[in-house]
Amino acid sequence: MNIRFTAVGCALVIGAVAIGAAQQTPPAAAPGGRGQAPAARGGATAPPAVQWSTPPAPSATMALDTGVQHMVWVVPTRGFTQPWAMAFLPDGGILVSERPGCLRIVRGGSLDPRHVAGLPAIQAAGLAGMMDIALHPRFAENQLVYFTYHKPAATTTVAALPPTGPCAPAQDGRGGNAAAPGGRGANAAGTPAAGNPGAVTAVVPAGGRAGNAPATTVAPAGGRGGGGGQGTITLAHGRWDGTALVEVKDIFSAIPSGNASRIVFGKDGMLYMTVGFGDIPPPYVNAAAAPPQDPNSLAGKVLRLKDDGTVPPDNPFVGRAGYRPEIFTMGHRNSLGLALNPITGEIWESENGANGGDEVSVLQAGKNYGWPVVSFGRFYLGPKVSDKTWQEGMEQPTIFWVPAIATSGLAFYTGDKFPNWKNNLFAGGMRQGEVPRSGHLERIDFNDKWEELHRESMLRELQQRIRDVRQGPDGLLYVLTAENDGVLMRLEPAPMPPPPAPAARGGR
Amino acid sequence: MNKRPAVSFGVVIALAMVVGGSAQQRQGGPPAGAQGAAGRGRGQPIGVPVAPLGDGPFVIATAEQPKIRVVVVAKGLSHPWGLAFLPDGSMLVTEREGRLRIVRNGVLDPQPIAGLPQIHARGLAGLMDIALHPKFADNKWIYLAYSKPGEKGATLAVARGKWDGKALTDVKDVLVAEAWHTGTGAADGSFGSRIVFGRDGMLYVTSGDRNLPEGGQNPANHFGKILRLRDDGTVPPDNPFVGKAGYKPEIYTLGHRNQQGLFVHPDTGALWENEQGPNGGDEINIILPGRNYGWPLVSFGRQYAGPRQAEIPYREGMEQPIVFWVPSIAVSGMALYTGDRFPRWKGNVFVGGLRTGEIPGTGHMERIVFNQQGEELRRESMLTELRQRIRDVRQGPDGLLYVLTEEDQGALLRIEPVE
Repeated sequence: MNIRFTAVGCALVIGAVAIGAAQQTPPAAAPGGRGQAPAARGGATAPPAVQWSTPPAPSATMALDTGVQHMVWVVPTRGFTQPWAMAFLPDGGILVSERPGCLRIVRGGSLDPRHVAGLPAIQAAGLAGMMDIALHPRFAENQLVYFTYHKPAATTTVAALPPTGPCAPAQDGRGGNAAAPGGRGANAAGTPAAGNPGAVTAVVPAGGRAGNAPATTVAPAGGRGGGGGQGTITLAHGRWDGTALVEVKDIFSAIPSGNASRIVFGKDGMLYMTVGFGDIPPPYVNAAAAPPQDPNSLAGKVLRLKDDGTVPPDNPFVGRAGYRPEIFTMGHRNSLGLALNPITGEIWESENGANGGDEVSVLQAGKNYGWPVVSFGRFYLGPKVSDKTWQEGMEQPTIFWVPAIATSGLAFYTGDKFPNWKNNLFAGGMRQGEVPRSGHLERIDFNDKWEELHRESMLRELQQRIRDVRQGPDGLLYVLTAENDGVLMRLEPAPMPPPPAPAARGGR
Repeated sequence: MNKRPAVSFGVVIALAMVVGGSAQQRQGGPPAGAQGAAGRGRGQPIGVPVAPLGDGPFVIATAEQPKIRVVVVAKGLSHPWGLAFLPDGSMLVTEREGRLRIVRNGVLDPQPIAGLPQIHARGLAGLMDIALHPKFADNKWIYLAYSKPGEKGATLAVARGKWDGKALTDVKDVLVAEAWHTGTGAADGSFGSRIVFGRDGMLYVTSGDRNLPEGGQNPANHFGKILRLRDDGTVPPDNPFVGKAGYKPEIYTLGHRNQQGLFVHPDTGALWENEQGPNGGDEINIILPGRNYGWPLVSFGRQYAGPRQAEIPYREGMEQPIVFWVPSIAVSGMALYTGDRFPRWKGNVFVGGLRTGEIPGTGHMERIVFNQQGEELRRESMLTELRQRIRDVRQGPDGLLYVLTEEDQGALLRIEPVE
């Protein structure tokens, strides 16, 4: 591999790293878009994507300089396919979900090639599939692992996944390293294979322990919304027996959707769950009637549930006619981040705008966060989502991005390993400004009123789409990339003195 | 160590280290010694230290061109700010400290151009933009925007002088803005100071708010305004507020903060302006006569200490930007590309940025793509790997892009396609 390196802009050039950003693999055919499955996108709602595929993931530890913490080691574990979420087990293992429909475990920095058994049938297509995972707050006692996924309809048959190795159906021949389209949200894994555009790739339950996956077939999806249709966003839990999930059962069923679902437990012991909303092609004739604004729909909402999936009686809309009682907040688009602010106890939520208008909102019971009535963004084809960026009775985000960064996982840092990051917010980004190779991690710091002061772009050098970020129990930061050549990266302080402070620089 | 001076494929970058083998071979926490980094307190300078710009050229991969070569035409410029192309192929470059320089045949003349007025060079104030008269070939007029000292402090002024091939002669002010301010610190910033000639032959001048935000809404002075003047500095009778009591007749638009970019759209003749918001809320606006662009009453940004600038980012009778940035990139010079050397950039807008998200060392250039209706489709961050503050970007008569980096050791860069 003939890779050259530069000293430009680098304070500490210690050596070389083989990230190989040079490679421009011919992209797959699917046009890139964000937030929507290719089937729902087409030429009508997005311009042709820029084709510029992601370079390979880092394969060896590298040192990166960062703004206030300075040298950080990035320690990669490779071998994932569209990893989506992480959960840290008390024994040091890290559970990692993969969107095509797998659950994996990393021990001691190594990815176990054997998949964790016990997942139900999962309908992976576009942005949908296996989603978030979270441990019960009393996991030590009950060993319950919660997860969200897209559940296929009873009439939909889904493809089997192998019990080991890359999380991709063997029969489609793509494997885990297929070239990704330039898309922001939709990548090749889990999207319809070339030449078989109607196929849905999904997984049937492994039937208990590993190695017993029943034979299944790929079924045609029948185009957008028809036939197999979209899987239903479903909340399930299972008991972790040390190697597998057992006694897995669905505890809440939301709506058929091609969009995402994050979950987090609040300090109140309740489970908060996002239900993403897929766009209706613009223009909205009546934005106020769109599903995220409809209190009788679960689309574009954050839900609040008991740990058994039932509705807590103190939810804001319980007993109110025309309102689903599960709703905690409304008016969301596609929420890909959900974090408990450990200081205030609030739930902070992030969501993708379209082109512009990504947001972080502090959730308050019963409030309306505006989508698509108010937005700072534009539709992918150019027009503003709304002439209004504000309306009485709708909440303003605490943080927003224009251009969008395709904001994904969200985490507060509270550890001691990076003292200069304490109480900072980290937000993953998959793509900035609708241009490929611009994924990164943002660090946001605040004044004592949680008003933002700075935003630092980190890991931009890697040119990877960042899907999730979490703080580990070891006080280190863990990051997943939303790539077919997916990687788990552990960030740790580098064992070397910090560089000298930069010279004072002029203002604007 | 395998280090070479060229940026080969863009964005990757370097400062990395292969620490012996794969991740699996390193387990456990970092060895002792990490406390050195961990012990740094807050309140220290933020941002990654910036290495001096190399000699280049740098070959960089971009999203759509796809590869560009960045040539360092001249280095050692002190905070270069504005750029103008003379018909003979040479380039005039202003330095904020108050010098005008010339690059002939790709070589920076060590001798500054003589003939400049007295300049208030302090903080972010000093010599700013430069423009040639539309009939320069006939009259040799060159216009300079600068910070002018006086008994009442400093203000924005525009002078013009005749270019005799080596120096400026007959230099005199055509505008001394009614924007005097005795303050220091913040008052030495936010001068605006871009100038451009419109298709109507008028001179448009951006006058910043000098960090006196209330000025932007006060029609009785020139703080936070765009002014429209004849080439001799007199007021055109068709200015929007001529004859209106309480209004300075030079005012073309109100409600601006620190306008750093200005061009005339080659297709429509419309005036496009950009301005810096505070923390968030940088904007591009299409400038229409008599309109109010809202600062400081409406903004998408936050004050540097954290509070929102405006609880409601909208107000009847005030214009909304067509492009805005949150977080801010500290927008600066701006150009619309019309050349043939980068066919896939045709019609794109290029904007310089000094720093992103209030983090030093994050200057770059952005390329913005629009649809047929002039609505934004995407934005590409470019030249991020150079980590320079970008103060100006222009298209040269050769169809290439020219960029100024506003640093102590600033540079004039030329961007070429790799063919």
